[in-house]
Amino acid sequence: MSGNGTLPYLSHSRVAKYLHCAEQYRLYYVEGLRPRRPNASLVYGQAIHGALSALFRNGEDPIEVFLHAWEEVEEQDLDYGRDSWAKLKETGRLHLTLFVNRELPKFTNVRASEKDFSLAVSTLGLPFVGVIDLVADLDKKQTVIDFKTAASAYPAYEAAMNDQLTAYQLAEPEAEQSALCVFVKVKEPRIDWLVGERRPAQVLEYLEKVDHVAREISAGRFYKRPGRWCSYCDFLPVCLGDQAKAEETLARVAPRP
Amino acid sequence: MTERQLTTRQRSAYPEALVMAPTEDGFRVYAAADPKKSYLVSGLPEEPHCSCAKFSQSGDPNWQCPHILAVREHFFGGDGRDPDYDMEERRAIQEETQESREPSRSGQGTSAVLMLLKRSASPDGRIDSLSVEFSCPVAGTSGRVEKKAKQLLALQTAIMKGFLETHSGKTNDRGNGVAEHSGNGEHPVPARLMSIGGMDGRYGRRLFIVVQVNGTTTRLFGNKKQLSEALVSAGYAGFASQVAEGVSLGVPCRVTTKPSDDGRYLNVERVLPPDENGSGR
Repeated sequence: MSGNGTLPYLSHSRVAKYLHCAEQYRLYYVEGLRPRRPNASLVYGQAIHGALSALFRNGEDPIEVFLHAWEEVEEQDLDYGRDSWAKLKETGRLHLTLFVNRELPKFTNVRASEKDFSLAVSTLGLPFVGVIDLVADLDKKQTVIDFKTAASAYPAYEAAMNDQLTAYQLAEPEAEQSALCVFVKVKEPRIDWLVGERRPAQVLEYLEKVDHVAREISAGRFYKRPGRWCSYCDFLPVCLGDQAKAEETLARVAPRP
Repeated sequence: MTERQLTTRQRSAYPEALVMAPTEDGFRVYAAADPKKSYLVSGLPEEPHCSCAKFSQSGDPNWQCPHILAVREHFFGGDGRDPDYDMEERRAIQEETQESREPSRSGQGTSAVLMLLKRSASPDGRIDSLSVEFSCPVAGTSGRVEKKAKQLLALQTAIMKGFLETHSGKTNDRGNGVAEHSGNGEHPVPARLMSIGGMDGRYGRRLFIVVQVNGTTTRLFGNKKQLSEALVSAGYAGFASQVAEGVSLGVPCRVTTKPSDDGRYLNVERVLPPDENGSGR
């Protein structure tokens, strides 16, 4: 356990990463380590997000936007795992076609897309920030929506317990419900919806958790949390002390402020 | 534990969990435990007003509801400071204040006028502010107090005037002492391309060239192609095929710059080759 716990702001992603593995948080945010070969799934997710944002903000054709972005990705050295550039291109095309044909008609009264928020919470010493993918009426109910891409379906309980949706509910108190719209990358790509509501008690519980995590980070407490997830963690060579492998696979970028 | 018990326990643990979000009209405030009821706090710091019923029902003009108090505490440091103050500046001022406490204590009990100059500067040059404070014992007739106050205000004005004159062009129009970047428009100035870095953006990894110009470090963002083009424009075609995170450059050039819309950053507009004698910075 080492490192400095400088924390400029709080966000769901910072809190989630710390709770997943505090050492992973430290290596990512404090040490500024990143994989030399970014994960293709992450880049795919970003391209889908970009396409949906272009659709909701500017009325652009999301399929065109995605395909254009994906063409630019081709030259990059990405870690595709069992996927390939061509396979993900086709998956993206199918996903977005499905979205436009089946899901888009469910939305009315789009209020915001890629909406930044920065909240001051009296119990937290730092601003709590985030970006909400979409605020719109879903089946006529005001909903905070987060788009996800995933290799397998999300379990149903995420609708009720997902912290990210709780955080977004905190930022959009008028929303009647929150939802994950999951683009599942299976053989026949499909889109799942997980819709849930957040009670004030859940929001308060989440705030307590954020406060606790913020204190731990500020105190520079970064414990390793070994588990099965280590097998797919980019930072495993660091934890194993395999310096040669770490240097080969990781690059240090400027640590975040 | 039932839901009701849980809510009660958390309300007692976090009784004042108020959420505050800046809006065009002021600050929207609501309790995390009761988010459907939100209030608008406006008029801070001089004339605070809240849309809550307790505030409007209070007959005492000095009374402040919990919403006003929370906004004042969070955004105005409890004492009416400008909410736009940068966090760095807050920290710098706090550190300086701590350092300055000892001398002021030693002055207690004397009749001397104490002057406290607080200068806040950040390494990137964005912040360079001065505050001038005087304190003196109040004694004698109101006429004498008024006269002394006027003398001190005149002295304070003279000091600030001198400071602002030597820093003209760096102080923004809010007059809060926060330095603004001024761009050089179409006139290229010497600069140095230091390295290529990357950071996570909303749509994935974003590359940038670290540029040193006018004693400031700024970033020229772009995709691989755009950064390659910038390097070619600067006369370093050899680097164009090597655009990747972590590549060290350290080469001179010239750039034109423009401040960002909010005046907080200095954007590089064009990259040009260094002048004939190759001088960078």
